[in-house]
Amino acid sequence: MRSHILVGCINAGFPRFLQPGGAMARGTDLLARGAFALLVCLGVSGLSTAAEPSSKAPTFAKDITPIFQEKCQDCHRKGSMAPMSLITYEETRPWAKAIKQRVASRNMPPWHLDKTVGIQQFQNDISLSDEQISTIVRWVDAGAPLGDPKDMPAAKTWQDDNGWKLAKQFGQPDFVLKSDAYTMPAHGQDVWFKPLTDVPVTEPRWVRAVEMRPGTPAGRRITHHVLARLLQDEKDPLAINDGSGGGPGSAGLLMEWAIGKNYDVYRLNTGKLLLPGSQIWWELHLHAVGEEIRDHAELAVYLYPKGEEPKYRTRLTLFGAQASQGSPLDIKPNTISETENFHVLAQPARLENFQPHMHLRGKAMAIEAILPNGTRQMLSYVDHFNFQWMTNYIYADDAAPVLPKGTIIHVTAWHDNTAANPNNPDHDQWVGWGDRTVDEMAHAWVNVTYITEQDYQDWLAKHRAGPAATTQRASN
Amino acid sequence: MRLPAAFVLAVCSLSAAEQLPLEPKHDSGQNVTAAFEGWYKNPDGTFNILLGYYNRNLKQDLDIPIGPNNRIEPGGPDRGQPTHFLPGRQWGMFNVTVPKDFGDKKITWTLMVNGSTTEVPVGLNPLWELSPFVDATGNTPPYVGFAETGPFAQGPRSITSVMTATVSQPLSLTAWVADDAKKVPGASPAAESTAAGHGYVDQISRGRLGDFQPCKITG
Repeated sequence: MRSHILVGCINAGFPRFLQPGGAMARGTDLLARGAFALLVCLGVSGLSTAAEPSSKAPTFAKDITPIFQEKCQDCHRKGSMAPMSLITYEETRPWAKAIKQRVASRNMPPWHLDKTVGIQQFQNDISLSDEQISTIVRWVDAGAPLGDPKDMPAAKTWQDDNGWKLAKQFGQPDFVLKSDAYTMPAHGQDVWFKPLTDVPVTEPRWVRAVEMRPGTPAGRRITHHVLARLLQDEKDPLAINDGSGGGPGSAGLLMEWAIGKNYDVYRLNTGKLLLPGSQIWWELHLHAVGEEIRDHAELAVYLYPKGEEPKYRTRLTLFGAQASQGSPLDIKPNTISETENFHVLAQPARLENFQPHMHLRGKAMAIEAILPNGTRQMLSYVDHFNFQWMTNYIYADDAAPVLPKGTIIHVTAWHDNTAANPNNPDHDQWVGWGDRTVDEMAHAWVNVTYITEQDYQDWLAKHRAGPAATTQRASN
Repeated sequence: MRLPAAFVLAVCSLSAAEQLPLEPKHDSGQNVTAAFEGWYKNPDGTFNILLGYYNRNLKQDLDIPIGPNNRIEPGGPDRGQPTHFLPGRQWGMFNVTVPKDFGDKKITWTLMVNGSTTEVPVGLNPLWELSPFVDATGNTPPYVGFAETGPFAQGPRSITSVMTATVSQPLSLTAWVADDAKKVPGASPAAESTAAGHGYVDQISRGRLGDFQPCKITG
């Protein structure tokens, strides 16, 4: 029986050639891996069998609705992006079994980060706690009872979906930029639509937050991603980010939108700089969905007050995992492949977030810091990446890693080109790097805020023990 | 010293066919795989399946004659595929035309070299449909021909010309290239500078198709 469980668990996972260690560091032998797999199995199994006879099963009114209000209803309500509403009992009950499956596997809410390794404090953590998952599972196992309607908390008020999510925090944006519209035919190849839009600033202005979205709900169905490249007469060499593809005059990306990523709010005393004469060079990557849809992209810009200049400038940076020689990606048919690359920080810097970007075969991605003294810190590991959700993991203020000059950022990506990947359109194809959805990519978008050496030393003095939230290990 | 044949075979098989995760790229000794770029419909209702390849060697050109080691089936082995493979990823090298009633059938390109075989079956999967003659900005691919007066091919469609050569005497190939150089609204400065880098765009007159004056490239 024991070996049966082990085999089942190993098959359900994937070969983790150089998977982030955490408690299970590199070089772990097979026996130890097997034992770990068993523990994982027992843990997951524990979630699903936790409905031990209990005198008081959870009810929708008292136990489930507060969880859904906190973590689910922002999307799962009428008129929002989710396919079903989870507001009332009548709306929710038919989906009970599916809800159990999706939350127990941690596919919903879309927070696909491994909770056993790396930084775990985020500004935008929408994941369920183990206790919340257990409550939902026990509720479903008990027959998904309504309970006493008097226990139901007051309905939560949601803001208008046509409004900006950041309006609650900042009010209305200083200005909204709109791209030209494009009509995507019902069938055909992916399209990259690249119009230009002028930015209405007549003097240098600092941005404290940006929010981006397709112009219409229908547009979300055809939009793979939107890039807003900032073109301006840039003098700061650190601000010219070749990785963004903007070319000469580009200050890199002002913002990138993908499903699951809506906005960037820059930290205290940090922002992005707009110069007079700047333009947004959009890239709308659109794919056909069987019906003709016309849409555009919108970018809301929130400025610092005139004259207020933050000390630090942040830059949206592409840290690639793809190879530097040969084909950037070499994903053989019917295999799980791994790729990695390394990037050196030219100055001390704070990393603000981690947003993996892959396509249909994307499986997992890790970002690790290798410090100049050889110490390795696993920052974040997304272990069950889902192409449908390009979630942006924004580190909490006290958890964002601050790293010395010369730190190597090591990005590792895994692609699953087997039949076991439900998103894989054809597991018999060799797949290389490319822009199309059927091609692949492997990079992380990270907002990098460079600081001075003195700032770093000051930070170090306050955090002698180092960023405790990361998973550290000595170099081999 | 003579090694048992079975042992030699096993060593070859391991060295060429098995690649470890994150193994360094090799200068030579690796295989080549077909790359399915996609397909597009022809005006007569047939379809062109567009193929390229990835030669995993950084430096080694490969020559694989048409036959058991370089075949496309059914209908092959010769369906117009290359026999000389440059290193690295080579995009959109040739088309295989399939009939209008091809449906969900597949053709398979098999390549065997350096002791390793790759097989890639390709068909008309809707997700791989291409629109290769105009992009979202209205831009179109250049025209290429072997004579100043044409005929010309545009996009991934191929064009052939019969030429006569003498053994041991180099044959100069002259290609004529033209582009309508249509100025696309919103074209990025980066795109402009990239195009200029090719060095021939500025030699081409700008106007409608039919008005252009192709420029000559000899190699």
